[in-house]
Amino acid sequence: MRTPVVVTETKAAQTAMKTTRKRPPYLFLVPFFLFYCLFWVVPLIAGLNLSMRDSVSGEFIGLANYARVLSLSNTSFWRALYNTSYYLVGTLITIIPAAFALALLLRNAYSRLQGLIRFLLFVPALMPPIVMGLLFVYLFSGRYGLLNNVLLAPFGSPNLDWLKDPKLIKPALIILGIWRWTGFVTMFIWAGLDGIPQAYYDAARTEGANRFQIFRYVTVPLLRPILLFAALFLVFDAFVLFSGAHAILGTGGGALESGLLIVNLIYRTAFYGAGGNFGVATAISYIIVPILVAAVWLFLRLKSSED
Amino acid sequence: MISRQMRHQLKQMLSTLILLAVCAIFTFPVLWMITASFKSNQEFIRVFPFMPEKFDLVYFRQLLSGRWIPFVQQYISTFLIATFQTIGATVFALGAAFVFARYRFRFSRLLYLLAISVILIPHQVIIVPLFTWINRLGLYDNIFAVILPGTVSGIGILFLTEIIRRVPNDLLDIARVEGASEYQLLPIIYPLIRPGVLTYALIHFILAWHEHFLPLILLDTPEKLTVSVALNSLGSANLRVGYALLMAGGTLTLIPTILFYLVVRRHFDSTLSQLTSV
Repeated sequence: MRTPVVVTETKAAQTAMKTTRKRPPYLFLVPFFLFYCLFWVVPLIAGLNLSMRDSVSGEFIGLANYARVLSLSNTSFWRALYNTSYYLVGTLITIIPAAFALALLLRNAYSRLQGLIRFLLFVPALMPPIVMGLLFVYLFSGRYGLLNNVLLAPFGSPNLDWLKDPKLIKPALIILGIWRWTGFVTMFIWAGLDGIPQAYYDAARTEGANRFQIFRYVTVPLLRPILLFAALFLVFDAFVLFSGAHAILGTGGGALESGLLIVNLIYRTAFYGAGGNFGVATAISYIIVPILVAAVWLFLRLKSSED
Repeated sequence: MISRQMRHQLKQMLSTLILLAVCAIFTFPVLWMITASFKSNQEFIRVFPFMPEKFDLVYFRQLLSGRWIPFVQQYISTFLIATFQTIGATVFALGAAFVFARYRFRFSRLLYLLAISVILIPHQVIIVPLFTWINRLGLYDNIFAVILPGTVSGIGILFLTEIIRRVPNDLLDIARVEGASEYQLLPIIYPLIRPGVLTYALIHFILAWHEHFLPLILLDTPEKLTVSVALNSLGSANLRVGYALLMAGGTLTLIPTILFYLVVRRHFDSTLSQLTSV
Protein backbone atom coordinates (compact mmCIF):
# COMPACT_ATOMS: atom_id res chain seq x y z
CA MET A 1 0.00 0.00 0.00
CA ARG A 2 1.11 3.47 -0.77
CA THR A 3 0.64 6.00 1.91
CA PRO A 4 1.04 9.48 0.53
CA VAL A 5 2.95 11.62 2.94
CA VAL A 6 1.25 14.91 3.58
CA VAL A 7 3.17 17.19 5.86
CA THR A 8 1.63 20.49 6.80
CA GLU A 9 3.58 23.70 7.12
CA THR A 10 3.74 23.63 10.91
CA LYS A 11 4.80 20.01 11.04
CA ALA A 12 7.58 20.70 8.55
CA ALA A 13 8.72 23.60 10.68
CA GLN A 14 8.76 21.39 13.75
CA THR A 15 10.79 18.80 11.88
CA ALA A 16 13.33 21.42 10.92
CA MET A 17 13.58 22.59 14.52
CA LYS A 18 14.01 19.12 15.92
CA THR A 19 16.79 18.28 13.53
CA THR A 20 19.03 21.11 14.70
CA ARG A 21 19.77 19.71 18.14
CA LYS A 22 21.92 16.68 17.40
CA ARG A 23 25.45 16.73 16.11
CA PRO A 24 25.23 15.66 12.46
CA PRO A 25 27.10 12.53 11.30
CA TYR A 26 29.61 14.61 9.38
CA LEU A 27 31.59 11.58 8.22
CA PHE A 28 28.74 10.70 5.88
CA LEU A 29 29.63 13.78 3.86
CA VAL A 30 33.26 12.77 3.41
CA PRO A 31 33.14 10.22 0.54
CA PHE A 32 30.92 12.37 -1.63
CA PHE A 33 32.87 15.57 -1.10
CA LEU A 34 36.21 13.81 -1.47
CA PHE A 35 35.39 12.69 -5.00
CA TYR A 36 33.55 15.94 -5.58
CA CYS A 37 36.75 17.88 -4.93
CA LEU A 38 38.99 15.44 -6.73
CA PHE A 39 37.00 14.99 -9.94
CA TRP A 40 34.92 18.12 -10.17
CA VAL A 41 36.38 21.06 -8.27
CA VAL A 42 40.01 20.44 -9.25
CA PRO A 43 39.34 20.16 -13.01
CA LEU A 44 36.96 23.10 -12.80
CA ILE A 45 39.67 25.31 -11.28
CA ALA A 46 42.59 23.87 -13.25
CA GLY A 47 40.59 24.53 -16.39
CA LEU A 48 40.66 28.29 -15.75
CA ASN A 49 44.41 28.19 -16.12
CA LEU A 50 44.15 25.99 -19.19
CA SER A 51 41.67 28.33 -20.83
CA MET A 52 44.09 31.23 -20.58
CA ARG A 53 47.03 29.52 -22.25
CA ASP A 54 47.98 29.01 -25.84
CA SER A 55 47.54 25.32 -26.53
CA VAL A 56 50.69 25.04 -28.65
CA SER A 57 53.27 27.12 -26.80
CA GLY A 58 51.66 26.93 -23.35
CA GLU A 59 52.17 30.66 -22.99
CA PHE A 60 49.83 32.72 -20.84
CA ILE A 61 47.65 34.71 -23.20
CA GLY A 62 44.96 36.09 -20.90
CA LEU A 63 41.51 36.17 -22.38
CA ALA A 64 42.56 35.68 -26.00
CA ASN A 65 40.94 32.23 -26.21
CA TYR A 66 37.67 33.66 -24.90
CA ALA A 67 37.83 36.43 -27.45
CA ARG A 68 38.36 33.86 -30.17
CA VAL A 69 35.29 31.90 -29.09
CA LEU A 70 33.09 34.97 -28.80
CA SER A 71 34.31 36.78 -31.91
CA LEU A 72 31.52 36.85 -34.41
CA SER A 73 33.73 35.51 -37.17
CA ASN A 74 33.82 32.26 -35.21
CA THR A 75 30.18 31.53 -35.72
CA SER A 76 30.36 27.89 -34.65
CA PHE A 77 30.04 28.78 -30.99
CA TRP A 78 26.96 30.96 -31.45
CA ARG A 79 25.42 28.34 -33.67
CA ALA A 80 26.05 25.57 -31.15
CA LEU A 81 24.61 27.69 -28.36
CA TYR A 82 21.56 28.52 -30.44
CA ASN A 83 21.09 24.89 -31.47
CA THR A 84 21.40 23.59 -27.93
CA SER A 85 18.93 26.16 -26.60
CA TYR A 86 16.59 25.39 -29.47
CA TYR A 87 16.80 21.71 -28.64
CA LEU A 88 16.27 22.36 -24.93
CA VAL A 89 13.20 24.55 -25.42
CA GLY A 90 11.87 22.24 -28.11
CA THR A 91 12.06 19.17 -25.89
CA LEU A 92 10.80 20.91 -22.73
CA ILE A 93 7.65 22.36 -24.29
CA THR A 94 6.74 19.13 -26.04
CA ILE A 95 7.77 16.40 -23.62
CA ILE A 96 6.26 17.74 -20.42
CA PRO A 97 2.73 18.43 -21.77
CA ALA A 98 2.78 15.18 -23.78
CA ALA A 99 3.89 13.22 -20.74
CA PHE A 100 1.18 14.90 -18.68
CA ALA A 101 -1.45 13.87 -21.20
CA LEU A 102 -0.14 10.31 -21.37
CA ALA A 103 -0.07 10.07 -17.58
CA LEU A 104 -3.70 11.22 -17.36
CA LEU A 105 -4.69 8.68 -20.01
CA LEU A 106 -2.76 6.00 -18.16
CA ARG A 107 -4.91 6.57 -15.08
CA ASN A 108 -8.03 5.89 -17.13
CA ALA A 109 -6.71 2.84 -18.99
CA TYR A 110 -7.62 -0.75 -18.16
CA SER A 111 -5.83 -1.55 -14.97
CA ARG A 112 -4.79 -4.96 -16.24
CA LEU A 113 -2.90 -3.43 -19.15
CA GLN A 114 -1.32 -0.59 -17.18
CA GLY A 115 1.78 -2.52 -16.21
CA LEU A 116 2.46 -3.53 -19.80
CA ILE A 117 1.84 -0.01 -21.10
CA ARG A 118 4.20 1.49 -18.52
CA PHE A 119 6.90 -0.97 -19.54
CA LEU A 120 6.46 -0.26 -23.24
CA LEU A 121 6.53 3.51 -22.69
CA PHE A 122 9.75 3.14 -20.72
CA VAL A 123 11.56 1.01 -23.30
CA PRO A 124 12.97 3.91 -25.40
CA ALA A 125 14.86 5.19 -22.35
CA LEU A 126 16.52 1.79 -22.08
CA MET A 127 17.78 1.85 -25.67
CA PRO A 128 21.44 2.73 -26.25
CA PRO A 129 21.31 6.28 -27.69
CA ILE A 130 24.07 5.50 -30.11
CA VAL A 131 22.12 2.64 -31.70
CA MET A 132 19.05 4.84 -31.70
CA GLY A 133 21.03 7.50 -33.54
CA LEU A 134 22.08 4.98 -36.17
CA LEU A 135 18.51 3.73 -36.55
CA PHE A 136 17.20 7.27 -36.88
CA VAL A 137 19.56 7.88 -39.77
CA TYR A 138 17.58 5.29 -41.74
CA LEU A 139 14.28 6.37 -40.31
CA PHE A 140 14.82 9.99 -41.38
CA SER A 141 16.79 9.51 -44.56
CA GLY A 142 15.33 11.19 -47.65
CA ARG A 143 14.96 8.43 -50.23
CA TYR A 144 14.56 5.32 -48.15
CA GLY A 145 13.48 6.84 -44.87
CA LEU A 146 10.51 5.26 -43.24
CA LEU A 147 9.17 8.56 -41.97
CA ASN A 148 8.84 9.94 -45.50
CA ASN A 149 7.68 6.78 -47.17
CA VAL A 150 5.21 5.48 -44.66
CA LEU A 151 4.00 8.38 -42.57
CA LEU A 152 4.26 11.46 -44.76
CA ALA A 153 3.89 10.25 -48.37
CA PRO A 154 0.24 9.20 -47.92
CA PHE A 155 -0.55 12.82 -47.07
CA GLY A 156 1.09 14.01 -50.26
CA SER A 157 4.11 15.46 -48.52
CA PRO A 158 7.21 15.86 -50.70
CA ASN A 159 10.27 13.85 -49.78
CA LEU A 160 11.86 15.76 -46.94
CA ASP A 161 15.55 15.22 -46.52
CA TRP A 162 15.56 15.55 -42.73
CA LEU A 163 19.23 15.10 -42.13
CA LYS A 164 20.54 17.12 -45.07
CA ASP A 165 18.19 20.10 -44.92
CA PRO A 166 19.54 22.58 -42.35
CA LYS A 167 15.99 23.58 -41.44
CA LEU A 168 14.98 20.06 -40.53
CA ILE A 169 17.99 18.78 -38.62
CA LYS A 170 17.01 20.35 -35.29
CA PRO A 171 13.40 19.15 -35.45
CA ALA A 172 14.79 15.69 -36.23
CA LEU A 173 16.99 15.82 -33.13
CA ILE A 174 14.03 17.02 -31.07
CA ILE A 175 11.94 14.12 -32.34
CA LEU A 176 14.74 11.83 -31.22
CA GLY A 177 14.70 13.48 -27.78
CA ILE A 178 10.92 13.27 -27.53
CA TRP A 179 11.01 9.64 -28.49
CA ARG A 180 13.65 8.87 -25.92
CA TRP A 181 12.38 10.71 -22.84
CA THR A 182 8.60 11.15 -23.06
CA GLY A 183 7.88 7.72 -21.59
CA PHE A 184 10.42 8.28 -18.84
CA VAL A 185 8.86 11.60 -17.82
CA THR A 186 5.39 10.03 -18.08
CA MET A 187 6.39 7.52 -15.39
CA PHE A 188 7.27 10.36 -13.04
CA ILE A 189 4.08 12.31 -13.63
CA TRP A 190 1.90 9.21 -13.51
CA ALA A 191 3.36 8.15 -10.19
CA GLY A 192 3.01 11.70 -8.94
CA LEU A 193 -0.68 11.78 -9.83
CA ASP A 194 -1.05 8.47 -8.06
CA GLY A 195 0.36 10.00 -4.90
CA ILE A 196 -2.20 12.81 -4.67
CA PRO A 197 -4.79 11.85 -2.04
CA GLN A 198 -8.33 11.56 -3.38
CA ALA A 199 -9.48 13.74 -0.47
CA TYR A 200 -7.86 16.78 -2.14
CA TYR A 201 -9.93 16.34 -5.26
CA ASP A 202 -13.09 15.73 -3.24
CA ALA A 203 -12.49 18.84 -1.19
CA ALA A 204 -11.95 20.94 -4.31
CA ARG A 205 -15.11 19.54 -5.87
CA THR A 206 -17.26 20.33 -2.83
CA GLU A 207 -15.88 23.85 -2.95
CA GLY A 208 -17.34 24.04 -6.44
CA ALA A 209 -14.15 23.93 -8.46
CA ASN A 210 -14.47 22.86 -12.08
CA ARG A 211 -12.11 20.43 -13.80
CA PHE A 212 -9.76 23.04 -15.10
CA GLN A 213 -9.55 24.71 -11.69
CA ILE A 214 -8.84 21.39 -10.02
CA PHE A 215 -6.07 20.73 -12.51
CA ARG A 216 -4.63 24.21 -12.16
CA TYR A 217 -4.91 24.66 -8.39
CA VAL A 218 -4.64 21.12 -7.04
CA THR A 219 -2.83 18.82 -9.46
CA VAL A 220 -0.15 21.12 -10.84
CA PRO A 221 1.02 22.65 -7.52
CA LEU A 222 1.20 19.24 -5.86
CA LEU A 223 3.22 17.87 -8.74
CA ARG A 224 5.72 20.71 -8.64
CA PRO A 225 8.62 18.73 -7.15
CA ILE A 226 8.21 16.09 -9.83
CA LEU A 227 7.81 18.53 -12.69
CA LEU A 228 10.88 20.36 -11.47
CA PHE A 229 12.90 17.18 -11.32
CA ALA A 230 11.77 16.20 -14.82
CA ALA A 231 12.60 19.65 -16.18
CA LEU A 232 16.06 19.67 -14.58
CA PHE A 233 16.68 16.22 -15.98
CA LEU A 234 15.84 17.47 -19.48
CA VAL A 235 18.09 20.52 -19.03
CA PHE A 236 20.90 18.20 -17.98
CA ASP A 237 20.22 15.95 -20.94
CA ALA A 238 20.22 18.81 -23.45
CA PHE A 239 23.60 20.06 -22.31
CA VAL A 240 25.29 16.68 -22.31
CA LEU A 241 23.60 15.45 -25.47
CA PHE A 242 26.32 14.04 -27.61
CA SER A 243 25.68 10.46 -28.67
CA GLY A 244 22.59 10.91 -30.80
CA ALA A 245 23.86 13.95 -32.66
CA HIS A 246 27.31 12.40 -33.01
CA ALA A 247 25.92 9.21 -34.50
CA ILE A 248 23.60 11.02 -36.86
CA LEU A 249 25.71 13.96 -37.95
CA GLY A 250 29.30 13.06 -37.13
CA THR A 251 31.77 15.73 -36.01
CA GLY A 252 30.69 18.25 -38.62
CA GLY A 253 27.32 18.95 -37.04
CA GLY A 254 25.42 18.55 -40.31
CA ALA A 255 24.73 20.97 -43.13
CA LEU A 256 25.63 24.56 -42.14
CA GLU A 257 26.36 23.16 -38.67
CA SER A 258 22.68 23.38 -37.95
CA GLY A 259 22.83 20.30 -35.76
CA LEU A 260 26.03 21.22 -33.94
CA LEU A 261 25.54 21.04 -30.16
CA ILE A 262 27.71 22.42 -27.38
CA VAL A 263 29.34 19.18 -26.25
CA ASN A 264 29.95 18.16 -29.85
CA LEU A 265 31.63 21.51 -30.47
CA ILE A 266 33.85 21.09 -27.39
CA TYR A 267 34.76 17.61 -28.59
CA ARG A 268 35.53 18.80 -32.08
CA THR A 269 37.60 21.74 -30.89
CA ALA A 270 39.67 19.76 -28.42
CA PHE A 271 40.06 16.26 -29.76
CA TYR A 272 39.20 16.06 -33.41
CA GLY A 273 41.85 16.15 -36.07
CA ALA A 274 45.45 17.26 -35.69
CA GLY A 275 44.88 20.82 -34.54
CA GLY A 276 43.02 20.09 -31.34
CA ASN A 277 42.96 23.25 -29.26
CA PHE A 278 42.51 22.65 -25.54
CA GLY A 279 42.65 26.30 -24.60
CA VAL A 280 39.82 27.33 -26.88
CA ALA A 281 37.74 24.26 -26.01
CA THR A 282 38.06 25.01 -22.30
CA ALA A 283 37.15 28.63 -22.90
CA ILE A 284 33.91 27.41 -24.50
CA SER A 285 33.13 25.47 -21.32
CA TYR A 286 33.59 28.52 -19.12
CA ILE A 287 31.45 30.69 -21.33
CA ILE A 288 28.70 28.08 -21.17
CA VAL A 289 28.72 27.73 -17.38
CA PRO A 290 27.29 31.15 -16.44
CA ILE A 291 24.72 30.85 -19.23
CA LEU A 292 23.59 27.51 -17.84
CA VAL A 293 23.44 28.78 -14.28
CA ALA A 294 21.48 31.87 -15.33
CA ALA A 295 19.06 29.77 -17.40
CA VAL A 296 18.28 27.40 -14.56
CA TRP A 297 18.03 30.23 -12.02
CA LEU A 298 15.58 32.07 -14.27
CA PHE A 299 13.65 28.88 -14.77
CA LEU A 300 13.38 28.25 -11.02
CA ARG A 301 12.31 31.85 -10.47
CA LEU A 302 9.56 31.53 -13.05
CA LYS A 303 8.39 28.31 -11.47
CA SER A 304 8.18 29.74 -7.97
CA SER A 305 6.51 33.02 -8.96
CA GLU A 306 3.68 31.05 -10.52
CA ASP A 307 1.90 30.47 -7.23
CA MET B 1 -26.63 5.15 -13.96
CA ILE B 2 -26.19 3.00 -17.03
CA SER B 3 -25.15 5.87 -19.21
CA ARG B 4 -22.58 6.95 -16.66
CA GLN B 5 -21.15 3.48 -16.53
CA MET B 6 -21.02 3.36 -20.30
CA ARG B 7 -19.25 6.68 -20.42
CA HIS B 8 -16.73 5.35 -17.99
CA GLN B 9 -16.17 2.25 -20.08
CA LEU B 10 -15.85 4.27 -23.25
CA LYS B 11 -13.28 6.49 -21.58
CA GLN B 12 -11.37 3.46 -20.41
CA MET B 13 -11.37 1.91 -23.85
CA LEU B 14 -10.37 5.09 -25.68
CA SER B 15 -7.56 5.84 -23.24
CA THR B 16 -6.20 2.34 -23.60
CA LEU B 17 -6.37 2.47 -27.39
CA ILE B 18 -4.58 5.81 -27.60
CA LEU B 19 -1.91 4.58 -25.23
CA LEU B 20 -1.40 1.37 -27.15
CA ALA B 21 -1.00 3.39 -30.36
CA VAL B 22 1.63 5.55 -28.65
CA CYS B 23 3.33 2.42 -27.34
CA ALA B 24 3.46 1.04 -30.87
CA ILE B 25 5.25 4.16 -32.09
CA PHE B 26 7.60 4.17 -29.11
CA THR B 27 8.57 0.54 -29.35
CA PHE B 28 8.76 0.37 -33.13
CA PRO B 29 12.46 1.31 -33.45
CA VAL B 30 13.29 -1.17 -30.71
CA LEU B 31 11.49 -4.00 -32.46
CA TRP B 32 13.06 -2.90 -35.71
CA MET B 33 16.50 -3.11 -34.12
CA ILE B 34 15.81 -6.59 -32.79
CA THR B 35 14.44 -7.97 -36.05
CA ALA B 36 17.18 -6.21 -38.02
CA SER B 37 19.82 -8.19 -36.15
CA PHE B 38 18.72 -11.11 -38.33
CA LYS B 39 18.58 -9.25 -41.65
CA SER B 40 21.04 -8.89 -44.52
CA ASN B 41 21.85 -5.34 -45.70
CA GLN B 42 19.34 -5.49 -48.59
CA GLU B 43 16.63 -6.70 -46.27
CA PHE B 44 17.46 -3.99 -43.73
CA ILE B 45 17.08 -1.05 -46.11
CA ARG B 46 13.68 -2.25 -47.31
CA VAL B 47 12.29 -2.30 -43.75
CA PHE B 48 9.19 -4.11 -44.97
CA PRO B 49 8.50 -7.02 -44.68
CA PHE B 50 9.23 -6.31 -41.06
CA MET B 51 10.09 -9.87 -40.11
CA PRO B 52 13.42 -11.26 -41.32
CA GLU B 53 13.44 -14.10 -43.85
CA LYS B 54 14.92 -16.42 -41.28
CA PHE B 55 16.00 -16.15 -37.68
CA ASP B 56 19.62 -17.10 -38.12
CA LEU B 57 22.03 -16.25 -35.33
CA VAL B 58 24.88 -15.79 -37.79
CA TYR B 59 25.30 -12.05 -37.05
CA PHE B 60 25.30 -12.58 -33.31
CA ARG B 61 27.94 -15.27 -33.71
CA GLN B 62 30.04 -13.02 -35.94
CA LEU B 63 29.83 -10.18 -33.44
CA LEU B 64 30.76 -12.38 -30.49
CA SER B 65 33.59 -14.06 -32.37
CA GLY B 66 35.61 -10.88 -31.93
CA ARG B 67 36.51 -10.67 -35.60
CA TRP B 68 35.49 -7.02 -35.92
CA ILE B 69 35.58 -5.69 -32.39
CA PRO B 70 36.34 -7.40 -29.05
CA PHE B 71 32.67 -7.19 -28.17
CA VAL B 72 32.65 -9.63 -25.26
CA GLN B 73 35.46 -7.81 -23.43
CA GLN B 74 33.80 -4.48 -24.16
CA TYR B 75 30.54 -5.75 -22.80
CA ILE B 76 32.25 -6.84 -19.58
CA SER B 77 34.10 -3.54 -19.36
CA THR B 78 30.84 -1.60 -19.80
CA PHE B 79 29.22 -3.74 -17.15
CA LEU B 80 32.04 -3.09 -14.67
CA ILE B 81 31.99 0.63 -15.37
CA ALA B 82 28.22 0.92 -15.01
CA THR B 83 28.04 -1.28 -11.91
CA PHE B 84 30.91 0.33 -9.95
CA GLN B 85 29.77 3.79 -10.94
CA THR B 86 26.20 3.07 -9.85
CA ILE B 87 27.26 1.60 -6.51
CA GLY B 88 29.69 4.44 -5.83
CA ALA B 89 27.27 7.19 -6.86
CA THR B 90 24.40 5.71 -4.87
CA VAL B 91 26.37 5.07 -1.67
CA PHE B 92 28.13 8.45 -1.66
CA ALA B 93 24.96 10.35 -2.47
CA LEU B 94 22.99 8.40 0.13
CA GLY B 95 25.37 9.36 2.94
CA ALA B 96 25.48 13.03 2.00
CA ALA B 97 21.75 13.19 1.28
CA PHE B 98 20.99 11.80 4.73
CA VAL B 99 22.90 14.63 6.36
CA PHE B 100 21.36 17.27 4.11
CA ALA B 101 17.85 15.94 4.66
CA ARG B 102 17.88 15.59 8.44
CA TYR B 103 20.30 18.18 9.87
CA ARG B 104 20.73 21.92 9.87
CA PHE B 105 24.17 23.23 10.62
CA ARG B 106 26.39 26.09 9.62
CA PHE B 107 26.74 26.21 5.81
CA SER B 108 24.52 23.16 5.36
CA ARG B 109 22.40 25.02 2.82
CA LEU B 110 25.48 26.25 0.97
CA LEU B 111 27.06 22.79 0.91
CA TYR B 112 23.84 21.37 -0.48
CA LEU B 113 23.71 23.95 -3.23
CA LEU B 114 27.36 23.31 -4.08
CA ALA B 115 26.69 19.58 -4.26
CA ILE B 116 23.75 19.87 -6.61
CA SER B 117 25.52 22.39 -8.81
CA VAL B 118 27.19 19.37 -10.40
CA ILE B 119 23.94 19.08 -12.35
CA LEU B 120 24.62 22.47 -13.90
CA ILE B 121 28.22 21.79 -14.84
CA PRO B 122 28.33 18.14 -15.82
CA HIS B 123 31.59 16.37 -16.58
CA GLN B 124 30.89 16.46 -20.27
CA VAL B 125 31.11 20.24 -20.22
CA ILE B 126 34.47 20.36 -18.39
CA ILE B 127 35.86 17.41 -20.32
CA VAL B 128 39.11 19.08 -21.40
CA PRO B 129 40.42 20.01 -17.92
CA LEU B 130 39.16 16.65 -16.66
CA PHE B 131 41.13 14.93 -19.42
CA THR B 132 44.37 16.73 -18.54
CA TRP B 133 43.80 16.10 -14.82
CA ILE B 134 43.12 12.37 -15.38
CA ASN B 135 46.34 12.21 -17.37
CA ARG B 136 48.27 13.83 -14.57
CA LEU B 137 46.82 11.34 -12.08
CA GLY B 138 48.02 8.54 -14.34
CA LEU B 139 44.50 7.23 -14.79
CA TYR B 140 44.30 7.63 -18.58
CA ASP B 141 43.09 4.43 -20.24
CA ASN B 142 42.08 2.98 -16.87
CA ILE B 143 38.38 2.21 -16.42
CA PHE B 144 38.48 4.07 -13.10
CA ALA B 145 38.99 7.25 -15.10
CA VAL B 146 35.38 6.80 -16.22
CA ILE B 147 34.06 5.28 -12.99
CA LEU B 148 35.29 7.80 -10.42
CA PRO B 149 34.08 11.08 -11.97
CA GLY B 150 30.73 9.40 -12.54
CA THR B 151 30.30 8.72 -8.82
CA VAL B 152 29.84 12.45 -8.20
CA SER B 153 26.14 12.82 -8.90
CA GLY B 154 24.20 16.00 -8.25
CA ILE B 155 20.98 14.36 -9.38
CA GLY B 156 21.62 11.63 -6.79
CA ILE B 157 21.90 14.21 -4.01
CA LEU B 158 18.79 16.05 -5.16
CA PHE B 159 16.72 12.90 -5.52
CA LEU B 160 17.79 11.06 -2.35
CA THR B 161 17.52 14.18 -0.18
CA GLU B 162 13.88 14.48 -1.25
CA ILE B 163 13.34 10.80 -0.45
CA ILE B 164 14.95 10.91 3.01
CA ARG B 165 13.04 14.08 3.94
CA ARG B 166 9.88 12.01 3.77
CA VAL B 167 10.81 9.65 6.59
CA PRO B 168 8.75 10.60 9.67
CA ASN B 169 10.81 12.28 12.35
CA ASP B 170 9.19 10.27 15.15
CA LEU B 171 10.90 7.18 13.83
CA LEU B 172 14.32 8.74 14.21
CA ASP B 173 13.42 9.96 17.69
CA ILE B 174 12.34 6.51 18.80
CA ALA B 175 15.63 5.08 17.52
CA ARG B 176 17.49 7.80 19.42
CA VAL B 177 15.63 7.01 22.64
CA GLU B 178 16.54 3.37 22.15
CA GLY B 179 20.16 4.47 22.16
CA ALA B 180 21.04 4.62 18.48
CA SER B 181 23.83 7.03 17.59
CA GLU B 182 23.38 9.49 14.71
CA TYR B 183 25.50 7.21 12.54
CA GLN B 184 23.25 4.22 13.20
CA LEU B 185 20.11 6.08 12.10
CA LEU B 186 20.78 5.66 8.39
CA PRO B 187 20.96 1.84 8.55
CA ILE B 188 17.83 1.86 10.71
CA ILE B 189 15.73 3.87 8.25
CA TYR B 190 17.26 2.16 5.20
CA PRO B 191 14.41 -0.36 4.73
CA LEU B 192 12.02 2.58 4.45
CA ILE B 193 14.02 4.37 1.79
CA ARG B 194 15.16 1.28 -0.11
CA PRO B 195 12.63 1.76 -2.96
CA GLY B 196 13.94 5.28 -3.47
CA VAL B 197 17.55 4.17 -3.40
CA LEU B 198 16.89 1.41 -5.95
CA THR B 199 15.02 3.87 -8.16
CA TYR B 200 17.96 6.21 -8.18
CA ALA B 201 20.32 3.28 -8.83
CA LEU B 202 18.22 2.31 -11.85
CA ILE B 203 18.32 5.80 -13.31
CA HIS B 204 22.06 6.05 -12.77
CA PHE B 205 22.72 2.59 -14.18
CA ILE B 206 20.81 3.39 -17.38
CA LEU B 207 22.85 6.54 -17.93
CA ALA B 208 26.17 4.89 -17.02
CA TRP B 209 25.51 1.83 -19.15
CA HIS B 210 25.02 4.05 -22.19
CA GLU B 211 28.06 6.19 -21.38
CA HIS B 212 29.68 7.24 -24.61
CA PHE B 213 31.44 10.56 -24.27
CA LEU B 214 33.76 10.04 -21.29
CA PRO B 215 35.00 6.60 -22.39
CA LEU B 216 35.58 7.93 -25.90
CA ILE B 217 38.01 10.47 -24.51
CA LEU B 218 39.44 8.85 -21.39
CA LEU B 219 39.97 5.30 -22.64
CA ASP B 220 42.10 4.00 -25.47
CA THR B 221 42.55 0.21 -25.41
CA PRO B 222 39.75 -1.30 -27.56
CA GLU B 223 38.98 -3.97 -24.96
CA LYS B 224 38.22 -1.34 -22.31
CA LEU B 225 35.86 0.78 -24.40
CA THR B 226 32.15 0.79 -23.67
CA VAL B 227 29.80 -0.83 -26.15
CA SER B 228 28.39 2.57 -27.20
CA VAL B 229 31.81 3.78 -28.31
CA ALA B 230 32.54 0.46 -30.00
CA LEU B 231 29.25 0.30 -31.88
CA ASN B 232 29.56 3.87 -33.04
CA SER B 233 33.04 3.34 -34.44
CA LEU B 234 31.89 0.10 -36.02
CA GLY B 235 28.94 1.91 -37.57
CA SER B 236 30.88 4.79 -39.03
CA ALA B 237 34.11 3.00 -39.93
CA ASN B 238 33.08 0.14 -42.11
CA LEU B 239 29.66 -0.32 -43.57
CA ARG B 240 30.70 -3.55 -45.22
CA VAL B 241 30.34 -5.00 -41.75
CA GLY B 242 26.59 -5.02 -42.19
CA TYR B 243 23.92 -3.25 -40.22
CA ALA B 244 22.83 -6.53 -38.70
CA LEU B 245 26.03 -6.68 -36.69
CA LEU B 246 25.33 -3.25 -35.21
CA MET B 247 21.74 -4.15 -34.49
CA ALA B 248 22.80 -7.42 -32.86
CA GLY B 249 25.15 -5.38 -30.68
CA GLY B 250 22.35 -2.99 -29.82
CA THR B 251 20.02 -5.85 -28.97
CA LEU B 252 22.53 -7.41 -26.60
CA THR B 253 23.16 -3.99 -25.05
CA LEU B 254 19.46 -3.66 -24.26
CA ILE B 255 19.36 -6.74 -22.00
CA PRO B 256 20.88 -5.48 -18.71
CA THR B 257 18.86 -2.26 -18.56
CA ILE B 258 15.61 -4.12 -19.26
CA LEU B 259 16.37 -6.73 -16.62
CA PHE B 260 17.28 -4.09 -14.05
CA TYR B 261 14.07 -2.20 -14.80
CA LEU B 262 11.91 -5.30 -14.51
CA VAL B 263 13.50 -6.23 -11.18
CA VAL B 264 13.02 -2.84 -9.53
CA ARG B 265 9.90 -1.53 -11.30
CA ARG B 266 7.69 -2.11 -8.26
CA HIS B 267 9.93 0.12 -6.14
CA PHE B 268 10.26 2.58 -8.97
CA ASP B 269 6.50 3.18 -9.12
CA SER B 270 5.98 3.45 -5.37
CA THR B 271 8.91 5.82 -4.88
CA LEU B 272 7.84 8.32 -7.46
CA SER B 273 4.33 8.65 -6.07
CA GLN B 274 5.82 9.61 -2.71
CA LEU B 275 7.46 12.63 -4.27
CA THR B 276 4.14 14.41 -4.65
CA SER B 277 2.97 16.98 -2.10
CA VAL B 278 4.87 18.94 0.54
